[in-house]
Amino acid sequence: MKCPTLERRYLLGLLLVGGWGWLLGAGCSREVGGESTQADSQPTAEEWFADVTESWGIDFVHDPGPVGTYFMPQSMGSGLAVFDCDGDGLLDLYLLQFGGPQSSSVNRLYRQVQPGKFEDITAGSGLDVAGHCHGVAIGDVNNDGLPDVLLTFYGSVRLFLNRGQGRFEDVTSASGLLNPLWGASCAFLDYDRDGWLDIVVVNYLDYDPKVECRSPEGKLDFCGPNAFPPVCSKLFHHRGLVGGVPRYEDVSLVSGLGRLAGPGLGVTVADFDGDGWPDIFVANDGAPNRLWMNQRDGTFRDEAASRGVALTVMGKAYAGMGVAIGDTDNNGLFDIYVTHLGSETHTLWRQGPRGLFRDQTAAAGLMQSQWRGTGFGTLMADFNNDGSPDIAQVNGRVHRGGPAQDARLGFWETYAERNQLFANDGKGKFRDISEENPAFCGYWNVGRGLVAADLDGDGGVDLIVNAIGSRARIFRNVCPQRGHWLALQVVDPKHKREAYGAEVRVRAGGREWVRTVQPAESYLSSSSTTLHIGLGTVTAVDAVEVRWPDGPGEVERFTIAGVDRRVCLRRGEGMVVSSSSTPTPPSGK
Amino acid sequence: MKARHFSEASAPPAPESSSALPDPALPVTPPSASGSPGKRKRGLRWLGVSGALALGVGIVWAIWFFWPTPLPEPPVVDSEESEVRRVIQEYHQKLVQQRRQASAWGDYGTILLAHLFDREAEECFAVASRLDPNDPRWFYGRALIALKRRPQEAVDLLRQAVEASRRQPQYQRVCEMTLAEALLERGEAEQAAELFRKYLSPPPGEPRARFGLALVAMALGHTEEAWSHLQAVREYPCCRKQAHTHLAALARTKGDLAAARQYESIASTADPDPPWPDPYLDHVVSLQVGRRGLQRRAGVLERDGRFFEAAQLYLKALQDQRTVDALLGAAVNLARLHQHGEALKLLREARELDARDASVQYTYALVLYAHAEIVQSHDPGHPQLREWFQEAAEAARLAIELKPDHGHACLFRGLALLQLGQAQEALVPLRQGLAIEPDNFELHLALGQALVRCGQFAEAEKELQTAAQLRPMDPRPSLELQRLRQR
Repeated sequence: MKCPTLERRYLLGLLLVGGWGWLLGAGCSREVGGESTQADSQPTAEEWFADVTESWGIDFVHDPGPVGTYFMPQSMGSGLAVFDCDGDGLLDLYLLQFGGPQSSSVNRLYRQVQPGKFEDITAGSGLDVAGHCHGVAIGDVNNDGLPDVLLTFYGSVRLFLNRGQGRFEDVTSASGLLNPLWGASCAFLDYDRDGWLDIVVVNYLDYDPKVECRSPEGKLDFCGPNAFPPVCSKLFHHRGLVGGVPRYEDVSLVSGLGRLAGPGLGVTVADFDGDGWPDIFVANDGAPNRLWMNQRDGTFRDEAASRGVALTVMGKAYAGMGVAIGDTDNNGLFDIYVTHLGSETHTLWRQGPRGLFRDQTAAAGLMQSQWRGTGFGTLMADFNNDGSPDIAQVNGRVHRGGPAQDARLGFWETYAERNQLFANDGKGKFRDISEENPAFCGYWNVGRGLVAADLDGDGGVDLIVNAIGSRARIFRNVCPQRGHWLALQVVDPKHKREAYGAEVRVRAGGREWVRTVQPAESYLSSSSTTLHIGLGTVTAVDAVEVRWPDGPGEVERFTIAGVDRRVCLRRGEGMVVSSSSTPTPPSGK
Repeated sequence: MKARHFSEASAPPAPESSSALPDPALPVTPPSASGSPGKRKRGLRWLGVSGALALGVGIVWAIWFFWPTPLPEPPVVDSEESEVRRVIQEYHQKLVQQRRQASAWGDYGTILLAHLFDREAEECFAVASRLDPNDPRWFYGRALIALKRRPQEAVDLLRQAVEASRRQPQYQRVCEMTLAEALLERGEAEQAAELFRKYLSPPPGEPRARFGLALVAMALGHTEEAWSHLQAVREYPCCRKQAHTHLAALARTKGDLAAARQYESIASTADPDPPWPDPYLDHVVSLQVGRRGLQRRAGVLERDGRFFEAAQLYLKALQDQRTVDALLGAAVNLARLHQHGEALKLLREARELDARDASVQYTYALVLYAHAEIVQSHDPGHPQLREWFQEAAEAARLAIELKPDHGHACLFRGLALLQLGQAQEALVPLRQGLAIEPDNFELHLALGQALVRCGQFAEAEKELQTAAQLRPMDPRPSLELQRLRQR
């Protein structure tokens, strides 16, 4: 039958309506596609972390002190440390408080009694300290085989000697350490290669609590660094032991660190120019960073400008807070990642050639994040053991006005943000996988301290967070299909401690991984000294070479059988390899 | 009319006459293009419906376009910032009276932006740019806000600003430069370079563009080109520190360590670079009132050494409200002009207002000490000298008690005690000061002098030598060392 005219019109109308509908729908989906986040357009990765805080027995809640006074140091938070306090081979946790000297809240020490189970041994440990505690560094200052603890405070620094069996003694006065400034991050290093651990303390601002700062609405808020003059970092030289207690001398001025002010927040130590002497990188807040290059004569020179890490590629001095180092592009050189404000971009400076850095944030894909946050604690670790380091960071604002709602953080809710995780694709490009990791990235916090360690020894690097006014959290690495791995402890029996400053190169499967023994990283925190190396699909290690940080600085080669294990590399048990001569067997064997 | 079935409607209508054949007497009318009257009626009906639809759409659009946008409520401003509240209310009132004017929305947004109400300003700029897409300022204002948190959106807005600025060329340069910088930061170096190159002529070219091209060249690894651009602009105030920093890096890359160190030294001691001239942003900042506005204007004057004008600014503020900040600001600038009497009067008032303010106590100690020292130089036997030094020492002590890391207060307490002949007591605050400021020349010098008076010559020599190293051109440490060696 011939199609009636009106029917044709109706059909045409239907087609048209249907067509418009399709177009509209497509337009909408295009519009949605245009707004879509990276996660929507990428295949979802399975989650890497699970919150195990409660089941592992950590009941620490950070006390920031009374709120409403907008005491600026309060907004900078506190760090944490992971170390084996009792020498039982299991990593323990030390979490810092900021309640104030009169507060009942004290720093807490948790001993791991079995993998994945902690007990609070704070009482009577000597580390049950109350105060405005910011940063912590771990190091054996008297070379007795027991790691000691250095704490920075708003207005002081304190040193605690480990007396064994979970007992610590405050030896600050006897040590001669004096830092009446606002101390932030700190680190142990042997800058003169004499076998004794020296100390660098990064100081922040000459803060005046009487100064009030206000938000645009005129409401009181925490001040920013521009409101106060910066102060210098301090370097303390270990002058040896007196009665078993180390004596330190303030060499800030003569070393050069005392001549250029910060305001410093983050610090890390590594040999950046390959001369075998440790250098110091300080992240400054709103001022050019400092790269203190060891001149090998007790002095340092700031070469951040000429080595390319003072400013971003745009010539800006961003608000530097946390610092992470790692070889993101597998060229055998340490790169530096610094966290900044949410209104800025966190910066990755890649090293290459040796000793020279370039801001490669955009090329590394780190401009494409799913959300922006004010970053503090950060670190690089190979969470999925694919052979390339990933980046984790914790976020939290310093001024009011954040988007969190119903986060049950009370006063701190307006400062809360979500953490972030960036996965390395193996070629040095990062992808934001925060959305796919709700355990670590899906909750609101005012994140500050962050450390990494394989707490349960299963080959996966775990994360621990200390956030302002919140419960500290442990995130166990549950990344599926993790690659092979090695965990290396690098020990110098002569000094009875880990060889801080030792540089380790692992060669396997035609690749090389580089690490340095230095737990100070992130922000106000100290991670594990055990070096974790993700090996990907490699199942056999060709060689491990260690360049020792003191004495003649020889390089020793070790042979390791198998992967997926922890190995202790002891100085003298390997094959000494000099730069040009044939390898010589270790002496005494 | 009876509804017809489709099949009925499609069939030609039956002729009215009973005969099936046409009447040969009637003229034969050829079939018209519009077909039968029924079809024409239907066509008119569809036309009517379409017309009604179009009219409806048009009415809806007109309502949407012309309906006045709801006015935003002014942000809540704390009562302490009455001047800020007043000026915001003033602009808000103008907006109420001219709510269909893009400029009213834009100006209101501008005053909000000046006082850091970014979110509210952005809303106003969005309306202004909708009402007047030809004014680049509103797209530019939105872009500046978006740059902080939503850089991709900022780039889009900057492109719109650039497009609009073709009709307002006084903003074209800043819009294009900002867009170029945003593109460069996102790794789009080539696009950025294209924009920067537009401003290379006439020679020597726009400094901001040359600096931008230097950054592009560095991003692309073209070191010689970067070097050339940076050399051209290295003394331009808005990029001096940055340019020397980058030159230091390039020099090291080239292997010229001496040059690298030289540029590095300049970069590390240079003041932070001021922002590039920006006609819109400069206007925004000039609108700032209240505490921030006062501090900004006074800071600029003090930086330029215009202490009299800075003092006047604070004194004028004091006419509205007696605050510790304004009293301190006025006193410090008056002291710089050696008007110590007036300065001390204001500082005494500040001490009464807030005796627990370390800055107040320290500034009082400083000005009083300076005053006493000047009088002493003319009249060493002045009867009030001892009283002034004692009062200065006490004020400094209070400052240290209130703020234990006050290095400068430690210095002035030590100096005042030295003046009072209490060298042994002076050692404590001076050593404390050096723990806080190890690079403070005056502290090393004062401690050296105190140690000499206490008979601790070896340590005195060490301190004086340190002072000499810190400031080789200052003769005082050498003179002290000479006297010491003559003992």
